[in-house]
Parts: sequence; C-alpha cells; structure tokens
Amino acid sequence: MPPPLAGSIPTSRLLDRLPDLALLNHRGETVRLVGDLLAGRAVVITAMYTTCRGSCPVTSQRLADVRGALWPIFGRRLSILSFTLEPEVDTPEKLRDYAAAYGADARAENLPDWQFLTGSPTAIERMRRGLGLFDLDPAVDRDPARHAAVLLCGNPDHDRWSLLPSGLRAGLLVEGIRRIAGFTFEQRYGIRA
Amino acid sequence: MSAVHEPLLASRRDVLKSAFAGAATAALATPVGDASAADPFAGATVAFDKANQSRLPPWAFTQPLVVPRILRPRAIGQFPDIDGQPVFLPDDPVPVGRTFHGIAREWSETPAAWEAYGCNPTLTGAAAWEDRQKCFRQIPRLDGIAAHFAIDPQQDSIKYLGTGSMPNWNAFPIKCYRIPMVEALLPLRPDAAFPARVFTYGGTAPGPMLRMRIGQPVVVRFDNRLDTETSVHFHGGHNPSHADGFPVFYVLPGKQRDYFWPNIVPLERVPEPGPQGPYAPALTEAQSTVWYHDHAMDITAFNASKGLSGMMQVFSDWELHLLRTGVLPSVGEASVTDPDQDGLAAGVEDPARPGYYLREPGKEPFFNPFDIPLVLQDKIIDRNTGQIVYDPEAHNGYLGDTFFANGVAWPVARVGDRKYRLRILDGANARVYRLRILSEADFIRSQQAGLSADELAAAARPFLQIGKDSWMWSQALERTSVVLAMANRADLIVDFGGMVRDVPPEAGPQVFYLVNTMPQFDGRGPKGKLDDGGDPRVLPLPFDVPGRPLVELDRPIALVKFVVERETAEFKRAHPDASIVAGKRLMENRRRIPDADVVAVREFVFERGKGAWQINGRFYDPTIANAAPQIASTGQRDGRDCAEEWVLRNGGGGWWHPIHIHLESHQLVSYEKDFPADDRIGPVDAVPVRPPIAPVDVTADIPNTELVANHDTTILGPNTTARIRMRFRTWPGPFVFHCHNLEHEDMRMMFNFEVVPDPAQDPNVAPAARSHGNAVTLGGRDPAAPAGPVGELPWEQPPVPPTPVREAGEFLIDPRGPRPPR
Repeated sequence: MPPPLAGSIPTSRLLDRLPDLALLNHRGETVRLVGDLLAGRAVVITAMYTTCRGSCPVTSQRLADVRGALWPIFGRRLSILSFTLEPEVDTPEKLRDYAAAYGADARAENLPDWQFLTGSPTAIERMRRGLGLFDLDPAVDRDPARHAAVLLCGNPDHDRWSLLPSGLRAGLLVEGIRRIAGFTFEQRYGIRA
Repeated sequence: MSAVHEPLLASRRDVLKSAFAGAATAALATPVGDASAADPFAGATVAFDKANQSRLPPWAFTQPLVVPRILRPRAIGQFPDIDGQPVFLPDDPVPVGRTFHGIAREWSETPAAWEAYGCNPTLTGAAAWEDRQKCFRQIPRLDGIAAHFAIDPQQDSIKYLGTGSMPNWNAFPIKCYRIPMVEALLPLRPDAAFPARVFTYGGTAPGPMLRMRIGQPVVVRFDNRLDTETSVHFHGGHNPSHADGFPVFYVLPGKQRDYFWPNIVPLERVPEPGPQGPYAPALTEAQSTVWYHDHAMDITAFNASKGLSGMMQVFSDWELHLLRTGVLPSVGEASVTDPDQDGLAAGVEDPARPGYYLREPGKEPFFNPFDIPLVLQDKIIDRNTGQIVYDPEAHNGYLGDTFFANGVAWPVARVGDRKYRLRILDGANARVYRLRILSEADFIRSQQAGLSADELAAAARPFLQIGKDSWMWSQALERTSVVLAMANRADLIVDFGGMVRDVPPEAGPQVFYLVNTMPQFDGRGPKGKLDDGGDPRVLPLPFDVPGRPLVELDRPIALVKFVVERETAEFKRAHPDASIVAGKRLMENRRRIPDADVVAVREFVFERGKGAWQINGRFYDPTIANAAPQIASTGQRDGRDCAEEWVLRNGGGGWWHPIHIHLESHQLVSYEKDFPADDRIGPVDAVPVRPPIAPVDVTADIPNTELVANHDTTILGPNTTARIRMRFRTWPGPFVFHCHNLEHEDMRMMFNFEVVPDPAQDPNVAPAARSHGNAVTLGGRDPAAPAGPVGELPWEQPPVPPTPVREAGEFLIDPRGPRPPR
C-alpha cells in the first residue's frame, strides 16, 4: 500500500463530516456513530424497520448469509450496522427480537459484529442524511416502505465507499465488500501483495 | 478584478429576483426531517450549491488555460526489440509483457477468428506480427500527396483515389509508454486553503496527452501507486479485451498492467472484392479524438471524480492530409510530422520536464497550437480543506459547482484572430452540457438581466462541428450550440478571426465566453426548474435540432474565457488560416449496415430498480455474459459480415442515460421520443410509462451527417428509444456497455457482452476460464500457482450456477490455438 502524502494537508472524507451522534443498539448500549462504529473499522450499513414487509427481510437474510464468509477475511474489524427508519417504534427490545430472527441478538464468537441501531428521531435522521441514505425525491424519502434495498459498504478511514444492491448474489456481495472495505491488500483482493 | 466581474457580483440579488427565484428559495427551505439543522452537507463549501452554480468567483478567468503536455515514449522498436525486453530501465526492470497483470494474448497469439482475414493462427510472436502485416491489409499512405481525393456526388462525400499504401498493422515501430498512477497535490481553487489530493496519471489531472498514429502499435504500462484498484479504459478505441478497461481487469495497487493498443482500423468485408480481396480496412473507423479514464468496478465514479482521466489524439493519414493541406487549422509540416515516428530522436525532450516533449514545432509530434483539447468537468471543492468532495451517495449522479477546463477552474485562454480547432470532452460524472459561444457584451447582458432561449440563440456565435466522439464527420456542419452528454466529444472549428472581423483593431483584444446553457440541478438530468423533479420537457431531444423549442439557463454558466488578440500580418503570412468552411467535405461516409446483415436484435431497457440501476431488470454481474455477439468475420450473410441491431430503451423516470458501448462504433438507425409521456413525470412521480403513449420517430430531425457518422456514446433522454447497429470485429473476449452517468454505472447499470467466434459457443459455461481475464491474458503472475500456466488471478467467487451444457467442459471458452512456450 503506498504511504499517504504529507499529513499536514487536511482531509475531507465522509468521516470528517459526520457528527459523533449517540445511538442505541439492540443490546441497549449507547454507542457513538463515529467513535464506536465507524472510525478504524470496516462497515456494511443498511436501513431497515422491524415491521417492514418489503425488502428489509430479504436484505437482512442476505446479510445473515454473507456474515460467515466475512469473518475469516475481516475478523472483528468489520461491523454490520442496520439502523431503523422508525426510531419512534423500534425500541432496543424490538430490535433485539428482530435480530434474533437472523441469529444476531447476541455477540457471536466467529461472526462479525452486527448491531441494530435506534435513537432519537433527530439523531437517526442526521445519521441517515449524513451517510446519504436518503432519496432525492422527498415523497419517496418520507415513505419508509420505499427505501432502497442497498448496502452502503465502506472503509471510513480510507474513505472508500460503495453502494451495493442487496439483491446481488452472495458471492458478488462478499467480493465487493472485501474489496471496498478492506484495510490491507490481502483483505481486499484475496492474495498477498 | 477585471471590469467584467463586477456586474457579475452585483447581480447576486438579481439572481434571486429571477424567474428561478421562487423555486430556488423553495428548494433551499424544503425541510426533510430536521435536515436544515442537521445535514452535514449543508456546509456551504462541502455541498453542491445548485442555486448559485452560475455565479463566478471574483478570481474567475485569472488562471491561464493549461493544455496537457504530450507524453514521450520510453522505447520504440519492432516486436523482437520490445517483447520480453526491459525497455523501461533503469527505473522499472520488468520486461514488456511480464508485469503482474500481463499483456493481451493478441500481443503474441492469433485468434482463430482472424483466419477469415488470411492469418495463420498457429504462428506466434514475431512470425505472427509479420503474418498480420499482410493479413490486416494496406491503408492509403498520403505523405506528400495533395490531390488524391475526389468528391463523390452520389455518396455526398470524398473518395480516396491514391495509390501509395502502408500496412494497417505495424506500419511504424511499436511505441512503449509508461504512466504511473500517483496521488499528487494540486491546487484546484485559489481561494482554497490547501492543495487537493488528486488521483493522477503521471502527476497531472487531466493526465498527459498521448498522440498516436493509425498503423503504429502502442504499449502503455500503467503502474498503480494509488490506494485504490484501477482499470484503464481507452474510450472510443478498438482494442483487445485485456487492454480495454473491463471493470475487473484491474491494475491492483502496487501492480502493473501492459496495455496493448494496436491502433489498427478494423477490417470489413467489401461488397465487391477489390485488389485486397474480400476484406479491406474500414478507413472511416480511424479514430481522431479519444480519451482514457478509470473503469474500476464499483468505484469508477469516485476514481474519476478524483482526477483519473486524460485526452488522447489519434492521427490517420486522412486527417494528416487535411492538416497538411490547410483545410484544418495547422502550422503546416510540423503539424503532420512526428520526430519519434521511427525511433527515439535526439533533442526533442523538455529538459525541464523529463518524459515530455518540448512544445516546439518539429519537437512535439503533430505540433499544433491551433488545436486545443478541452476536458470539461465539474466538482465540489471544500474551500476549507481544498479537497475534492465526493458524495458517495449521489444516487442520481454527482454534480459540482466548480467548473474546470483541463483541470483549471474557470481558465482564460489567449488566442489569435483565426480559426481554432476545439476538441471538447464532457469528462463530468453526470453533467450534460449545451455549449454556446457568447461575446463579452452578450454574456454580461445575460448575467445582468437574463436572456431568453430565443435571445440566446440569436446572440450565440456560430461555429463548425466536424466530428463527434472518436470520429470526424464526412462534412463540416454549422452550429450555434452543441449538446455534450457525459463521455461525448465534440470536434469544433471556431473562427475567432471571423468574430472580430467587424471590430476595429484599435478596440483592442476582444473577449468571448464558452458557456453552458443547459439547466441541470441534479444528476437525474437537465431540468427547467431548480427544484428536484422539474420539467422534463426542458429538451425534447438530446440533439440540437432546428424547430424544437429549448429551455436554457437564462444566466449561462461561463466555462472558458477566450481573449482574441490580433496576429501580425507577418505571422499570418507564415501561418495561413485554415480554409475549412461550412459544408466542406472531409471524409468518406461510413457505409450503412444493411438490414440483411443483421443476425440478431437485442433490446436493453435502462431503468431504476431495487434501489439501484438496472438493465432489463438485472444488476451487473462481471462473471456472466449478458450477450454473446458473433465476431463479424466468422458469420457471414450474402458474402457480408454479420451485424447486430440493439434497441436501447430508456425505462422512464425522467433520468438521462448516455449509453456507451465498448469496442465498436455504432450507427444510429432511429431515435424515438414519447412526448406525451413527459407530461406524466411530476416532481415526485418517477414511475415509468408503459406502454409508450405516442412515440414519434424523430430520426429525420437529426442531420444526416451526424446520423450516419460513428458514435460510441448515445444519450437516451427521458422517454426515448434509440436503435443502433454495429459489427463486432477483431477482438474476442468480454467487453461492457453501460450508462456513462458514472454513478449509475457503479450502481450496476452495466452489462457484459462477450464476442465469440461461433454463435453456438456459450461463454457462460466456463466462467472460471474468462473471469479476471485469464482467457485474454498473456504473461502475468499467478502467485497461487507460480509454476502453473500463465494468467491473471483466479476468480475467487463460486462459479455461476451450472447450465445444462456445462458438461461441454472448460475448453469451450477458448477458441485459440495452443499457447506458445514462454
């Protein structure tokens, strides 16, 4: 990996522009968006809500499918973050029940961390806008049922991001996530440099 | 601050009073949640300031326009001097063809499909190159020949009558270039606090310009020193799959790939066999204005916005003839000669810039100060940090409010009072330009009071268009505006002399502005209003056609300022003005592909789906072939090569999709527009209209010269359908076609087509053999199997689910002869 240029030049990464919001995860813990969830980590981020009958169950199942394959690549350095679009309804308890359906309610030994996030409506809205997970069409944006079935995967430190449709087959998703979010050459491309 | 800027700044208040003001303030005040307080992109310097994109900063037009420097080859020689030789010593010991990602198999091996041309597929290496010099036929050589053209009144074009010729393949020795991809610190705005970290080819953005000649093969070693994987696409070229920039044929960080660009014109079967037999080089396929840019999977938009693009020019003997005879702007002999044509010449390199030519006549190849390439781009620059701000979530497409030409924000160019050739590239991620040229007085009037579309059309200065995309047209057309979608090029002749002819010389230098009048406020496409949604009827057609109403920015966005200075009589005598006028015949017309040659019709619908972008309801998958067209020479009908017709349909929603097809130029057969469907698109409703309500064939609105010309990118405006035809020639292997709105492309609006020698060959039965380019790569290193066969990385993904013909085995994919011993 080439060395970064002189550190005196400031960066304008997505990470630099995000507020360090306080959120609640499905285990009832308070977590900081930047400090705990993004900085120094590889992430896969998606929006959901527990009563969704549209794309959320499919997306969540797809994440459950690829979670095992991501562990040997990333270990603990990858987080999967599913944040709710209905923070007024989705309490940590409801999120925990939802997570249980995908085997993500408790920390697992050999699986990447998967957190379901809620918080104050303001905080969720700021996070959503900050990460850009909104639709330019305000009518579509106001309707949670019409949210996009996409995964925002990225490496906040390297400012590498990509939106992957969750409808991709699992093999392509794993390849995309590791290549975009990986820290090292080997993580990204599956071979030694 | 010059006089022109003060009224611009004073007009800030007028902007808010303008017709757009209601929409502007409404859009800015629209609350989404409590985003007004929360949106981190709301900071003025990190967000796209769409309401004020026409406003110029006080320092606009103070920085001179930079014309990219011409890169010099590091070695020139015949195949045995180059193949396997460490020509990039001392700083790069890796021999040609032995880089990590190897070189195209066609470098040394001959595809079986070339047997139709008379090639011997069992030959390899130097013997194969000798063989190809014969089987790729001869092309006319026009050195020193002044009058070997004649106007053919039936074809309404020019015919070549000369007798001199040279080989199409390897007429001149191979040139080897080396371009490192490095991060560089470049100041992008003078009012920014820091220089920007820019992804560059060779340290500049846009990258260095390559000037190449038809008949002269080129190897370019791209050496990736960036913290990102890249893939270099030669846009508008006709090159091997390995060297075309297929999205997953990467140059990984720290690795290198040798791109082999043979610079041949493809062969076409002629209706009546001539002295060269049934095949002859299709001379109308010779490129002129081409470019290179990044094409890496998922992150093309990010990489391109950070700077990875550059211009190239290719010279055919036809074009050199037009330059030599003064039809096109040139400085005579120096504009048609290349000191490095047959080997590295002495004294032509700039000692101040090693690796680049001295910018002097006789030193720089095809030296031409009257030929100005312009790469137009828009970016968001964070003035606090100086960095390029890329919004990774710009679903609709990334727009910026700082306008660049050749990497300089709002530059000024000093030109003489004569004809100039401007070769303009829309290098933006998602912006469609409508370019006009306005005088200073008209421009100031537009900024102070606004000009209606009719007033703009009346004020716009006419110019000539002589080409689109890679290719020159058969004749020069007069225009007062030109629409450029992403990746389109326009080859223009602007007569600055004519513009100042009626101005007395004592009035001093005269000022003209290249302006963009296309109203566009989001990545969806041009719009008449500032708010999202808006009126899709802003532009009924993505072409400039007379008689159709236009909606234009009443305050155009200025892009480049031209200061026209008088040349001395002595200078004019030494360098006569170009003779080109409207209607001038330039090139032979391309032959239409007749109905009888079409062996397959395919339809592709481009639309939004499942939160991203799809073609025919599917996301892009690099491991499968979505179409397998037959290589033209292997499938014939009535003694002609086979061809395909593709129907490209915009699936609706008001989005604009410029569709770019790799490998081949296409002919436009028809263009349909469903005008009533436009009325169904409101600001919030993006539901496609199906079936079409009342499509109208508007093909006749497009000038015939443009219609029959070659295209590599055709824009689909809202509710439009284009029918195109093309032949798939020369190069087997996977290629892509996609929407050139780079965000749409990254979010999977892309398909593969795999050119196969036999229609019975299904490329999907053996995906492992072709993925990552194993089937198209010669050399290269596979660390997992160092002693095994050559080739790129094995594809790590599980193969595509088996098909019933999978038992046919892994061998079906590879139509070639045995590999040569290395």
